[in-house]
This record gives sequence, structure tokens and C-alpha cells, in this order.
Amino acid sequence: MLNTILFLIGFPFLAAILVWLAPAGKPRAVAVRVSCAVISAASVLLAAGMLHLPDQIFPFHNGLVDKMLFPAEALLTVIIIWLGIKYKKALAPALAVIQFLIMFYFEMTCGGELAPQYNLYIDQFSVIMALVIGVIGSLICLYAVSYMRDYHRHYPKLADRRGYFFFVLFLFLGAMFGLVFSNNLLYMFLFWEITTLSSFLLIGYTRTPDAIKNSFLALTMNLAGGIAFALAIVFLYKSYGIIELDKVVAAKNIALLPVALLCLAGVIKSAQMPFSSWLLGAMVAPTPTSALLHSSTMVKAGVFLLLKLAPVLKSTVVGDMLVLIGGLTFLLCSLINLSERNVKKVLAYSTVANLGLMVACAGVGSYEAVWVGIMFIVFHAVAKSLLFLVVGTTENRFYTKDMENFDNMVVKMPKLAMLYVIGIAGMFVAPFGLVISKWAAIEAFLKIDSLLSPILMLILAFGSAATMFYWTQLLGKILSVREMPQEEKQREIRVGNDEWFSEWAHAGISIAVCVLFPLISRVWVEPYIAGIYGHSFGIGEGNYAIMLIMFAMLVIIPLAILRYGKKMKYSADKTYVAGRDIDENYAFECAIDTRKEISLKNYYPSEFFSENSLLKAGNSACAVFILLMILGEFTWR
Amino acid sequence: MAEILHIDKDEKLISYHAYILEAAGLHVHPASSAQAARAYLETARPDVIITEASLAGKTDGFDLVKEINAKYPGIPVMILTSVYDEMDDAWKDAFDRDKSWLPVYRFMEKPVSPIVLAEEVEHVLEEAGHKHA
Amino acid sequence: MEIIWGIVYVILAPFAGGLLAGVDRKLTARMQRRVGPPVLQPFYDVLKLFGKENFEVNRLQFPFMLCHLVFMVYTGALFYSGSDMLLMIFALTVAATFLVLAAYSANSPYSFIGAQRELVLVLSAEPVLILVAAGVFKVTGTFRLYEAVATGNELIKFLPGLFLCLFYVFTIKLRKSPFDISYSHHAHQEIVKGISTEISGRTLALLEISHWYENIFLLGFIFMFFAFSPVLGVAVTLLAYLAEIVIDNSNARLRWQWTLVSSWLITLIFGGGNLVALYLAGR
Repeated sequence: MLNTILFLIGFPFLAAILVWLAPAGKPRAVAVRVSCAVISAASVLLAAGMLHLPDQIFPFHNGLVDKMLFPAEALLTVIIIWLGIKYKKALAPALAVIQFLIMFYFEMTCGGELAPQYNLYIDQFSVIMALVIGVIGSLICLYAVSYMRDYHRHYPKLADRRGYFFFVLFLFLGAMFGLVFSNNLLYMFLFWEITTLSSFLLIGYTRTPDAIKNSFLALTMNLAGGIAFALAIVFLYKSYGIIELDKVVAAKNIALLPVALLCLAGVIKSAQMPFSSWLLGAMVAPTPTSALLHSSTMVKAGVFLLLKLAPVLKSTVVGDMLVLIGGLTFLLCSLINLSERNVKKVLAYSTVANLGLMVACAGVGSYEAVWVGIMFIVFHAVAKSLLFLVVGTTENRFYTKDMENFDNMVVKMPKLAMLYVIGIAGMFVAPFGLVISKWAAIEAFLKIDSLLSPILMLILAFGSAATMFYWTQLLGKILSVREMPQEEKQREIRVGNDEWFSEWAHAGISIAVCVLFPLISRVWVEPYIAGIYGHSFGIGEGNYAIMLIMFAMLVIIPLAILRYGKKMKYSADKTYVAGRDIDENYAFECAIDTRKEISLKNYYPSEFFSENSLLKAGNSACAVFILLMILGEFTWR
Repeated sequence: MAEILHIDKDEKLISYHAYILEAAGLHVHPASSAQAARAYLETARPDVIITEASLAGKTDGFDLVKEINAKYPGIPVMILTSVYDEMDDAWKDAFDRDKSWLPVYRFMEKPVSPIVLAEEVEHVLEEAGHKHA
Repeated sequence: MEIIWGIVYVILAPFAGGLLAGVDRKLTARMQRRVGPPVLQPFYDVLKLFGKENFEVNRLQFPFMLCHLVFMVYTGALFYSGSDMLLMIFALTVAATFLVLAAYSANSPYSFIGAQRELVLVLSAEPVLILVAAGVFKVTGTFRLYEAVATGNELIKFLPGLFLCLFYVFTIKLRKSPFDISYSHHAHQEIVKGISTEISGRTLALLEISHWYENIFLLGFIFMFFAFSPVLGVAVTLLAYLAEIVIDNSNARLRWQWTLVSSWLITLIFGGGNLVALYLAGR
């Protein structure tokens, strides 16, 4: 088991070097494909190997690794300073230096005496994360092979640094694996900062002014989180002699300040308000980055840490503040999406909103809430990743990210439209996982015995209503039908096989996790919960039956119609445009002998749900909650 | 009001694009052959050029682009073509690995919605540092 | 067992719903000093629709409408078999989604605006449904309707604010003025027939039938608050429906912005207030 873990952490680093050195074109593509296959196979083997086994914890006292930790930190700092100088940015290098000095001080004063018991561990929650990182992550890297080829074809003037791009992608995967298996906080911190660096490098990949600005924004905010993390480590060791995560969770009567600092790091990493702008800005990056880091994996690292700390957070000021931060972020970001046209921004705000729910679950800290949080991670990672991938394919074929240009996709690219249907359904249609998790979340939140309970109900009620609105708008546009000549339809043959394979695999996994939902719960999530809280939690059998019936209806009816529908007789008719003569449902004759195109634009009620006002409100409120989270320690004790 | 030189054998396509491009404040000059394009360029400087890759021959558009870039380096060029599908794998692989021989700001494949085309033209004008009303 | 009531609903609701629609039209006519169509007119209409030639604008509308009907029936069946309230609301949302998709697929102006407005209506009404489910849970400790109601809980006593909100969105759900912004039986729609502009023949028949199922389900939702005293419950339900007819006839249509803002404000104040009051009272 330990060997598999070490392999999962180490192999991606090797693969990163391999793909960077591989010659451009076919050799690099093959290197990436093989690495992806190996990583996903290894993750699946790990999961299979851990089936029904109890949690395991490993001493892993490796002198070489321990000696390398601090130099690695130093290297990260140097890289950031160098790039800060190169692009004339002062804040990020300054923060990096502060962070480094904190760790330097720690190293000098305590480095010699540290004696962690167990550096690595594995439990079923890590297994789930490993599956997400290993399978979904690999599929995204695979997708990137043909996506980046088409991306560079679209922008011939862009410097082609794909080898470096894949290097950072695999580096990131290795760091994520390290993060979820680390018990030693110093290990976790190093991997955490490597993910920050990877995000920074990938956002800035195109080196356009926008890319540079947003990459430094992401870097600065996440470095602030890193400083919080570093301070937490120093506090924990100096005050309690704790350097390991399991000891933090198990400790009785420890001050919550270091925990609050860790939570702050997690909140920033998951782009909760007031730190959401970095994730929104990160959307300038090529789509594989958005899919991998900024929806399915890196941002989940923040939530992962919070959920791990959940038992400590229950019924504390820190926990309550997290509930408010996460809940308010969920509500406001869902409302902002009502007026949003750029599909990548819609996906980004949706991601932040869903992360908000997961953060709130962690803040609640009950066993039901943690169950919900973990299930959310699974379902959201798959569905959101699929959506980002198809948006990327859309970008490369239709050259647009504006929802208004998605009309008639079901006619122009039916396979892609189908994938959108599965992805969007996965986000808000029952009985797909996200909705079912929301249902369990409502129940978990109702059981809270405080004013937070009605507040959360209101947040969930309004937020969920909003999500149905904008997803259906997008879906409707995609599924609108009009006759068109062959030249207007896109040639699906142009989409690379890597993209298709990855997207269909995502779709299949999306459906599978929906149907196998109780299995996932019983095999992975419930044992983890039971291990910590003593109880387990699940969805009743009767309700599962209802879900299955709904799922069957969702699948069978459309399929049946599509199959037998061809035999159904009907007379085709033109749409009604107040009696005007129309030309193939596209343009119509209007006054004074002119032809006007039919142009149908969605409602974007920005008078009520303006991004600016909602952001301002959310950022201010959440900034207050964050202050209370950290200081509440002192006033409410 | 930016000026676009739109080069394509298919005049109907150019007028289809022009219908929307004009509405977006981009004036379109059509040219249905390389000669027509060269002739136009002798007399006027457009702000951006959109061209097919296959005009008289299969890939003579590429040659035209290189020629334009040599003679008029300040004008950004965009390729809007259906020729990519017809090239063989060897050419595609070579193109994938090295595009430096083709000095264009965009390489786009038909069909493209005219609305999207208008937006792309705006982006290219920004990138190339042009200012227009 | 409870399922039997679900089956009863599936079989009887179209008849009850159609009859209700007929009575609605008759009463409305009388209020407007007209004679009005026969009470059984809705059934004649639907039968006639089935007999018409199939004109479709595209291949997707019929499957979408069929799915809308199936999920609407399923929602009502879940309700009447006393099943989980949240799942029922989710099923209702799926049904609503299919209806909107049917309208979107037509790619036509009136249909499209109808779809947008329908989405606004769902946006306006959905928060209330979730809050009602939450309220029921707070009072009874379960989402399963059968257990919540069978134990004789006097929901109206604990959830008056939510009942008020429900009545407000009842108008929305029944597609009555002032909230009939996306679809109307009447000829005075400024967007022709809104979501159903491009729908005719058997597809329109399915839409009609699904309205009947939906109305019976909605009446049940009102009844639920008074289930502890069935006679009172039936009386209140019928009174509520009658009130809706009166409101419909005495109000002009509101703009969609007002629909959204007013229902959200009412939901926040009365619904949210109800839940907060429940917490403060120790539930």
C-alpha cells in the first residue's frame, strides 16, 4: 500500500520530466497518453487494494525527504521572486519572502527536534481524492493533447511551450497526490505550495497581459493562504508540539486559532468570497487548466483540508463562520450567474458556489454534513470537469465562449450537444448526484440547532432556484433546432480523438457515479465517517428506488423516442412569426422589403443581479466573517 | 470604422459575413482572387485582412499571406479556411510542430458564425495595436 | 399501503383535473357575464387535439413534452403516495425543465420569450416549495409526507407564513393572472401563446393533460396543511381555488420583473420569518 502511494506521488514528477523532454508532436503525445494510463490505473489499483481495509498510517521516516523539504520551499520562493522581477510585480515576491522567512524561522528554531510519528497515511477519503486526481485528472491531461494542438493552431502567434505546459500539469498531479496522503503538515504545506505555483504558471501560460495579471492575482491570494498555513504550523508546534494532521483532529482542548488559520488557507484555495476573483481571473488560462486545477482538483484541496478538520469545527465560532462564508458565497455566486453570458465564467461561478456548499458542510461538522461534503466532491468534480472539457472543445470549434452563440448546437454538433446534456444534467437535474447531495445537505442543515439552520434554508432555497434558471437557459440554447445547410454544421470529425475519449469517459463516469451512488457511499464514504464519528449515514433504500426510477425515465423515454420517433409521422412546419413569410426558421421578411435575421437572446436580469453589487456585498460580508473566524477565538472563548 | 479586406473565392460567403460585420462597424472589401487582393492593396491599406488558404490553387493563399506580410508587415492577417481538412497527416503534423512560416494572427476553420468572426476581428485589432472608432 | 393512493392519483387525476378546468372556465365565464362552454369542454378539446394532423416544428418537441408529462405524473404520484417531499420537488423541477426545453427547441420568437418567462416563473416559485418542505421537516421531523401528515400534525398552525407564500405562488403555478406571463388559454397574450406557440395537435394535448395532473397535485399541496381535518381541508382547498379564479378575473398581468421581485420578497419575509420563528420557538 505504501509503495502504491509513493508511486502515485513520485511517478507524475517523473512523467512531468519525460513529457517535457519528449520531442514535439507524436512522441510527446504518446508520452502523455501512456503516463495518463499509468496514473489512472495506479489510482484504481490503489482503490481496489484499499477496499474494506481500515485506515492505515505510515511512519515513512526518510531522512533524504526530510532534508529536501526546506530546500524545496526555498526553490519555490526563488522561482516566484525571479518571475516577480521579470514581470515587475512586487506583492507576490514580498508574500513569498514573508512565507519563506516564517518557515526559515521555524526551521532554525524547531527543525532539529521535530519527531513526527507518521508522515503519510491513507484512508477512504484519500482514496476518493486519489481516484478523482488519478482518473479525472489523467483524463483531463489526455484531453489536453488534442485540445492544445487545436488551441495553438487557432493562435499561431502564441509561443508553443506545450512541453512545459504538460510538465506543469503532471507536476501538479504529483503534488495533489502528495497533499491527500500527507499526515505531516510540513509535507502537506510543501505540496500545497507546489499546487499554488502550478496554478500560477499555468494561468500565465500564454503570457498575454491578461494572463500575467491574473496569474499574479491567483499567486498573491494563494500565497496569503500559504502564509496562514505556515503560521498555523508554527503555532501548532510551538504551543502544542503538534506537527501532524491526525493529531490536530484528535486533540482535545486546543486553541482554535491555528485551526482558523488552516481554514483561512482552505477558504482562499477554494476561492470563497472575498477571494473569488482569482478563480474568475484564472479562466483566461487554456481550458485543461480550468478543468483540472480550477474545478475538479486544486480547489478541492481546500475543501479537502476543511472537511478533514470538520470534527474539530463542529459547534465552534470557526465552524459557524465557515458556514456563513460558504453559504453566502453559494447564494451570491448562484445569483451572479443569472446575468452571466460568458460560459467559462458561468462554470467558474458555479464552481465557487458549489465549493461554498462544501465549505458550509465542513463548517457544520456533523457526520451527515461531512458525508454530504465528500459526495459533493465526487459528483461536482466529474460533472464540472466534463463541462469545462466540452466548453473547451466548443472554443476550438466555434471560437466563442458567449452563451448567445451556442444556438442550435444540437444540429451543428449533435455529439457535443449530447455531452453538454449529460454535463448540465449532472449539475442540476435529479437524480444526478449533485441534486441528491443537495437534498442530503438540506437534511443535514436542518438538523443544526442554531439560527444558522433557517438562514441556510433560505440560502439553499434561493440559490438552487437560481441554478435551475441559468443551466436550463444554456441547455435550451444548445437544444434549439433549426434547419440549416450542411456548410453551417460543424464537422465533428475535426475534434481530436483524445478529446472525444476523455469527454465520453467523463460522461460514462458521470452516469456511473449517479447510478452507483449507494455503492460509493457504502464502500468509501460511510467507513470514513464511521471511523471518525462512530455513526454512519446513508440514503434510505426507498429513496434510492425513487432515484432509480427517475433515472430510468430520463434515459429510456428520450432513447425510445429517438429510436422509434423516426417512424412517427409528422408534417414539418415552420415556426410562427406573426404570419410573416420566413426562410427556414432563420430569417423573415419584414417591412419595406427587407430581411431580418431571427435573433433570440436570453434574459440576463442584471438589473437585479448585477455582478458588481453582489460581489461587493458578498466580499464585504465574508471579509467580516473571516475576521470573526480568526478573532472570534479571542472574544468568544 | 475599421476596414477589412476579405479574400475568398466564394463571394456569397463574403456578403453573408459582411451583413453582420458591417453592423458591428467593420467595413468589408471583398476580393475573390489573389490578383484582386494585390490590386486592392496597391491602393488602400485595410486594418485587417481575412483570407482563405485555397484561392486559385490548393494552398496559394498561404503564399499570398507570406507575400502580404513581407510587403505590408503592419497589417494583421487572419486565415479563415476549409483547407485544413484536406491536407494529409504529414502536413498536419509538420504544421502542428512548427507554424512560424505562417505569419498570421488567427487560423480559423469554416464555418464560423459572422458574429463570432466580428468578435475575433476586434480581438485581433486590439492585439495588433490598432485603434479604431 | 401508500402506493395505492399514488396509483389512484395517476388514474383519476386527469378526470378530476379536466373537470376542474371545465368548472374553472364555466365560473370564469359566469363572472364575466357570459354563458361559457360546457363543463366537459376540456375533455372534448383534448380528444379533438389527439385527432388532429401532426404538425411539428421539430423532432424534439414531442419527446420533451412526453417527458414533461411523465415527470409531472410522477411528481403527483410521489406526493399522493406520501413520499419524500424534496425528491418530489426535484421531480417537479425536472418536469418544468422539460417544458422549457420543449419551448426552446422551437427556435421561434414567441415560444422563446415564453420559455424565458416560464423560467422566471419557476425562479419565483421554487424557493417557496423548498422552504415548505424544510418547514414540514422542522415541525414533524421527517420529509416523508405520509409520516408527516398521518400523525395528525396541524401544519397550518406552525407554518402560517409558509402557507401564505404558498398561496401566493399558487397563482403562479396555476397560471392565473397576474402571473400568467408565459402561457395562457386566453387569446389576449402579447406573446401569442407563449411557451405553447409552436405546439399543436397531440403535443398540445399532452400539455393540457399535464396541467390537469399538476393542478390536482397543487391542490393536494394546499390540502396538506389542513390534512388533520379532511373536511376543513377540502373546504379550504376549494375556497383557495375559487379565490384564484376571482383573482384571475380581477387582475391584469404583471410584468415579469414584478412577479419575481414580489414573490421573492414575500418568500423571504413570510417564509424566512416563519422558519426563524420556528427556531426561536424551540423547534
